[in-house]
Amino acid sequence: MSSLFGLLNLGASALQAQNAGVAVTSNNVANASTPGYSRQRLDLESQIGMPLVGGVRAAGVDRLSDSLLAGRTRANTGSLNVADAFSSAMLDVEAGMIGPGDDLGTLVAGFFSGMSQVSSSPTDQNLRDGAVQSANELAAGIQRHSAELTAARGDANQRIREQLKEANRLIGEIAQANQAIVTGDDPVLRDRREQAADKLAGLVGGTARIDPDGQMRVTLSGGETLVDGAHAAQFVTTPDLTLGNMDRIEVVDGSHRRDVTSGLDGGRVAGDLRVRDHALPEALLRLDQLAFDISTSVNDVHRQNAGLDGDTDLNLFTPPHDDIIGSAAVMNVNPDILSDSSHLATAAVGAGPGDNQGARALLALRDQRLADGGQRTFVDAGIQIVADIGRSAADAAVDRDFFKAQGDHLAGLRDSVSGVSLEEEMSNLSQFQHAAEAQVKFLSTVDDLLGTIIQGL
Amino acid sequence: MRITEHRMVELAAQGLSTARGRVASSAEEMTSGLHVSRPSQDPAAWSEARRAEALETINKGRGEALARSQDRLDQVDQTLGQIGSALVRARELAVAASSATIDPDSLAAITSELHELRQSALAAANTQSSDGEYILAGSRSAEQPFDADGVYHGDDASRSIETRPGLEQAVTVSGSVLTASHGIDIFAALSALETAIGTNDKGAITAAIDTMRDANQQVSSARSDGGAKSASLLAAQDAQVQLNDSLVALQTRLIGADPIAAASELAQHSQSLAAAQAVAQTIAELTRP
Repeated sequence: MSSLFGLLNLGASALQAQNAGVAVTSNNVANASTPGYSRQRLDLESQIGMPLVGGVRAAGVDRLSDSLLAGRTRANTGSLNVADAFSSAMLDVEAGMIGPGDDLGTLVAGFFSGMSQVSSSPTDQNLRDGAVQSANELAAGIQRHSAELTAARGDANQRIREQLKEANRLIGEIAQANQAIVTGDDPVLRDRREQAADKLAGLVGGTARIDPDGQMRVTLSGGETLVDGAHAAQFVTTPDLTLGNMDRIEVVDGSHRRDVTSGLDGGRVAGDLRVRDHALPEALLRLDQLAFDISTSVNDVHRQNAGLDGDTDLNLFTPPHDDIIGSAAVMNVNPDILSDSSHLATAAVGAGPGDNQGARALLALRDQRLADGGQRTFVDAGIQIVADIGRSAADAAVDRDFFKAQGDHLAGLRDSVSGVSLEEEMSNLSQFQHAAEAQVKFLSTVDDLLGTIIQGL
Repeated sequence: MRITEHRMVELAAQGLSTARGRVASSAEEMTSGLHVSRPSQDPAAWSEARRAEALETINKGRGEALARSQDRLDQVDQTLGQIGSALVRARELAVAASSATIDPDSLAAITSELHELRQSALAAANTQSSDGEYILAGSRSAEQPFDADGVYHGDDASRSIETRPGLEQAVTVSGSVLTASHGIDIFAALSALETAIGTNDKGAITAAIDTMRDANQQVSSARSDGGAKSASLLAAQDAQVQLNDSLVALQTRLIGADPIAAASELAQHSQSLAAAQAVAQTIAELTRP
């Protein structure tokens, strides 16, 4: 049977345990709104002792989290951010292509409308000037769109560069946390490491698993290791001519370098890579093809007809290079015609200036399927380029909304496991307080008993 | 499932954000009058609307070309009318001059009037449009088609324009209708009559009476041809206006906002926002320590 002094020890350790409970609960309440915080729970353990003695002690603090759920959340964040980055970038591009006077279909239609008007009075200087002006607006519009798409590519490249700098910082943070956890397992460090891993997944995707040794290992979907314990690789970006002077992305780990430019499939970087290396080059190529097709088709007809002065064999647009790529960026109206619209070939060769066969031949190009490899008219091709940009943004927005909804569901599940409920904590606090008060009362009673015994001696 | 206060506040904030987004979207639709203002909102509808807009632009250009050609044909009709009137008057003068009892003073007056008629007919045949084009010169419309002797230097070319999508129609009348290639060289005939009256050559004057009648018929026939073209252009202009209206209607149907539906949607979303705000307030009160 234990002595009264033994009971004092029992009470003291129980009081300490209840106080620890109050401290853990207070910490939970204090961090109720802290992002990434996982609630903690005091692990109370019965003391082994003689019958009727026992007691309780604080064995440690548990951090309540679900690593499987955390992995699913990170995977979802990676996919969500691909869609979000892609959709945002493409919506920006779309906005730049539908401003007043910017619509490609209307610009092409305006060119043919100018030809239609000049065909009714080919010697009318105002109509000729108007037709040349509409050709110039078409060329300028195509050039402007080409410049916008090119600039958008540059912006995407810049965003990728910045995001990879942040990714490198996060990789370092995870490695440092791994190192610190080896020496002392602090729940706060684990929270921070989880948060850094979440952010990293949002930037570059990949997976992060926690091994039995407590160390987090982060790998990309292609198998490249970013963090292994305290060891960290780094992303390195280098401008590459084969990518149109955009950055090549490599994972560098000591002397080992691996190109992951086309292998990244998660996070904002992957979304911006899709914009930079797929969506925008495709749109640019289609714009180049449209500029090339319009220029060559119009020039072929224009050269076979004559201006007011009888001049023939003139191009209306400066001839594009043999290579289709870059045609949109250099599309211009022949400066001789731009400065003097009498060179506009509206008449057949040998006919008088009032003849309009040249203008009609140019007008006839309007309804021919000469664009997109004979699939579309020029008007339709112009409209389709912008519509497809909008369609890809819309598709990505649907994906984004899906992953966002999934992310909300996962956030709810995570909160269910790791979130701090103030009601629950208040209840715990009250429980620990009452238990502590009871221990004080118990100690006071034992103290009274001891006093009585001591006075009786 | 455990739901924490933090999560409840998050859900309330999400609900508020969604409701606000819907109100903003409805308000934008109301103020812009457009249900689809960007391709990403509805790529198919946006493309169709842009196609309709492009066709509208092309159709407007065609409409202006039709109107300009119509004006030109009206001017041609007026010109040929003047020449026809001159020929009718010339025939009347020839009839008067053919009388055996006519005195020399009257003959001189007739000669003088006939000369004036020829000159005015020649001036009419060299009429220019408002943009400086000679309307009866064929394709050589930058140069005066008839010289002082009435010799034609234009050509027989007729200009066609597109009147309906894919359809073309001739919209000019060449000055060659006044030349021998179409029967009678009208200015040569007037000159011959002037000479015959000046020399009082009764035989030639009598013969010229029929020539003037035939010449007038030749001009009338050309006017009739021009009138048929003009009527066809008028029909094409009506079709152009109808096409324009249908293209505008198509755009409205594809991307325009229905004001009643948009207003109703705005009211509905505003109520949802008010409800979301009330819920957020309740949650804020519930989670207050």
